[in-house]
Amino acid sequence: MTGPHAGEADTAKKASLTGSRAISVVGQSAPIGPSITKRTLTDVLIAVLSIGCLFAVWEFASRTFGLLLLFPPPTVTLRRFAELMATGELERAGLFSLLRIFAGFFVGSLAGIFLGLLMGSFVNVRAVAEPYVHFFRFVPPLAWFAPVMLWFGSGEVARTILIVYTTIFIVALNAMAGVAAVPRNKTRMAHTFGATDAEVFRLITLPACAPYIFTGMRIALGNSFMTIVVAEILGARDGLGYLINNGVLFLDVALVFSGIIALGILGFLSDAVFSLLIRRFAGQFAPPHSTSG
Amino acid sequence: MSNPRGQAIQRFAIDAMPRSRAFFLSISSIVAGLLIWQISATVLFDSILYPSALSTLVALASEMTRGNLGKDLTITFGRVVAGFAMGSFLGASLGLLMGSFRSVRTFFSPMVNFFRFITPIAWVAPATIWFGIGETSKLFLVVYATLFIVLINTMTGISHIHRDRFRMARSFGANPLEIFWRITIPASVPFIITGMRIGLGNSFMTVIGAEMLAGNDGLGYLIYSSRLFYRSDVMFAGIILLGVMGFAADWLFVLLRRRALSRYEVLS
Amino acid sequence: MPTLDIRPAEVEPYVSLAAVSFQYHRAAPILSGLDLKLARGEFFTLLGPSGCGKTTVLNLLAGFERPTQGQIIVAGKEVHVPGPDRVVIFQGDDSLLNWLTTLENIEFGLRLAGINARERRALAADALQSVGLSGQGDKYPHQLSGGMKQRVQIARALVCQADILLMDEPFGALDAQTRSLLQDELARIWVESRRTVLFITHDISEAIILGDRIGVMKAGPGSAISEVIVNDLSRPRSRGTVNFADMYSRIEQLVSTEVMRSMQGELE
Repeated sequence: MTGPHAGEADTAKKASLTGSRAISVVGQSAPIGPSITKRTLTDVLIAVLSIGCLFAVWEFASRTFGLLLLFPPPTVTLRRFAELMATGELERAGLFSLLRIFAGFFVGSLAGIFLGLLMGSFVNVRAVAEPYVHFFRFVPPLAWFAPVMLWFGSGEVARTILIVYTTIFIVALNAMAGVAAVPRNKTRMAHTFGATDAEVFRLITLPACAPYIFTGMRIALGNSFMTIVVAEILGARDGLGYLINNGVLFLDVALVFSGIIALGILGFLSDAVFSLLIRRFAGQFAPPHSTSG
Repeated sequence: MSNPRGQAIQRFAIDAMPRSRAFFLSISSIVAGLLIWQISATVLFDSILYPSALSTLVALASEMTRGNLGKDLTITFGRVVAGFAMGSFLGASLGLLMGSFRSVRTFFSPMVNFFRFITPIAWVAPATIWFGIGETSKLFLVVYATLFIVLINTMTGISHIHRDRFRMARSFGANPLEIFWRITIPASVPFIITGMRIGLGNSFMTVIGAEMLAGNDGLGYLIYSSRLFYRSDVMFAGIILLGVMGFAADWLFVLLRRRALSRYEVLS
Repeated sequence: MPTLDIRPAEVEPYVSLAAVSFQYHRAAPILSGLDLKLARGEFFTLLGPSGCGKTTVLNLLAGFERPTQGQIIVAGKEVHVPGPDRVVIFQGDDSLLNWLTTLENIEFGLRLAGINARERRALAADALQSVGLSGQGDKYPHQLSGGMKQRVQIARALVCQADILLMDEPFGALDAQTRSLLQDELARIWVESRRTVLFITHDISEAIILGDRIGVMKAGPGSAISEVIVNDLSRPRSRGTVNFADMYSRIEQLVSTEVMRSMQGELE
């Protein structure tokens, strides 16, 4: 890209490509020459310093205030984490949680895309579905856990339904927004070349909505992690939620922390892999930038 | 090549349907939905497990008047508001600082990038162990849920501020503090608001989760515990109330945004 | 003295807008009683102040809108819907499909017409070369400059061998140098292909460089064509000649009268 705004556009792009992790600093374009290396070095130094500080404070606080049990220091936590990894318990739990999420996520995304595209394309459908979407949007998935548990027991079905619920509305709303956002000239251009409605939908609407759909899916994935943990705590016999819950029951906070850390890592990895897959296989459809973590 | 295929342009645009007709369709859809609910409940399913629309309404009315539902509603809403306000303020402040001063950003980035992927629900257990079942743990959780999303959006916002605005201020002799106060903060407002709106949703989700997992009052607790007494009508009443509350909160938020902040070019 | 349009009555117009009026539902009329006739193979530029409805004329001819009153006839048949006989080149770049490469964008119309891949690719490559973009075939739109993107639109239009080209201020968003270059190139391409062109612009020199006849529109609302001037400067045209300057000042007088009227209208 050329022009006076190249610096900004590039940094914004950078923000999106790295999953909005590397946010640029205010109004500065990349410095030139050897100062880059110096800057990066200082950055790394400060980053290490900050993590080090955090750990030091954590270690100090937990040892000094005698809360070794309730608030284990990093050393204890990490050791526990390593133990759990060694026995494979953590991996198994993680795998179970992930599988649950992906099953529901997959189904929910498909349904959400279908619903959203329908709503976006047909005014009738939208008018009929809108009251429900707007209502259910504000009912957190967890609220449905109680009824679903009542009807389906505490089995896998209940949990999958929850994840489907989490995913479907966010994806549908984003897909609908995507349809509305297709620039009119694209559709007109296709009409000029004699495209039928089906062709317009397949060749214009669908590709143009893809970035919105992917953004919705990404948000839904993050929310699914939130939902699955509670769902597992409330009724599963495996998975990270179950592990965390066990930690709570036996006041084994190191276990709880390990579970949380594993959850965080999984969440981060899922998000990164998702973004990577999108960029790799559907690069031209990648969302322009993400503002919602 | 000219083989005109002259297709009629289907008008799918939303403005093609008169608003009155769209409204009518929506209302009919709600009525139809309620009817289906009522009929399916009375005819098909066990009333204990699957309350009818009517019995839910009755339960709603009676529980509200008898006081429990109203109290739980207020408690939940209060938790959301308190945590949301504090979390937004902290998130926006830290985000503004991180976005404006490189050293601050580099220092806090690793922590932010780590914690933002850990869902607030994961902290319910530790928070309960440390702060007990009461308000503090819920507050902590909601603040956590809101803080990171507002922070990230704020930082994204700052990165989108046009360079020329800073240059303009500098050419008029503004010092960094003035730039921060007069350019950075106002220009970030739309993004902060967007983050806050998402954070509001997150807050609701977190509070309900916390109340279900480790609470003894509030709507989440009510919904979850109704299951034990097989009072599915109360359960549904609570869910509906929750939906309405969430909707109202979002609607209020949008209203406030439009009234008070329209000059900040808020993105929708 | 501006030359009024006197076309021989024997020549059947290829494109004809007869007493066309247009307005949106319950809004002020944009066009009122507009008459326009184009002969086959002529390059007609339509000039006017902003808001006078020139884009609306193009939209009507393209079939994106239907006239409230009047008829639009192309090659003896009435126009209702868009079709590949009237290809449009849009203002701005948002008709380009950003998920397709340049070549894929150019072949889009061919693809819809069912032409096989190999033939499509060959035709698109030819068109690419004729607009001077060889080598850019595999780039995506966001990698191209504004001028290049407009050339892609031209290539896309040419490759379909449409009889009529409708161009809506295609060079409006470009810088002056690129604009001049593209104007000359378009003039050259047109001389080789001799399509019928309706070209909307607000730039007088652009109208003179390109147009066989130049229509000046009245100020809105309820606009129509005020004058049509025959441009008999010989091609290829250059901007510095005395004849050019004469024509420029003649047209400028006409246009500024209309601009004045439109500005007065705004004040009222």
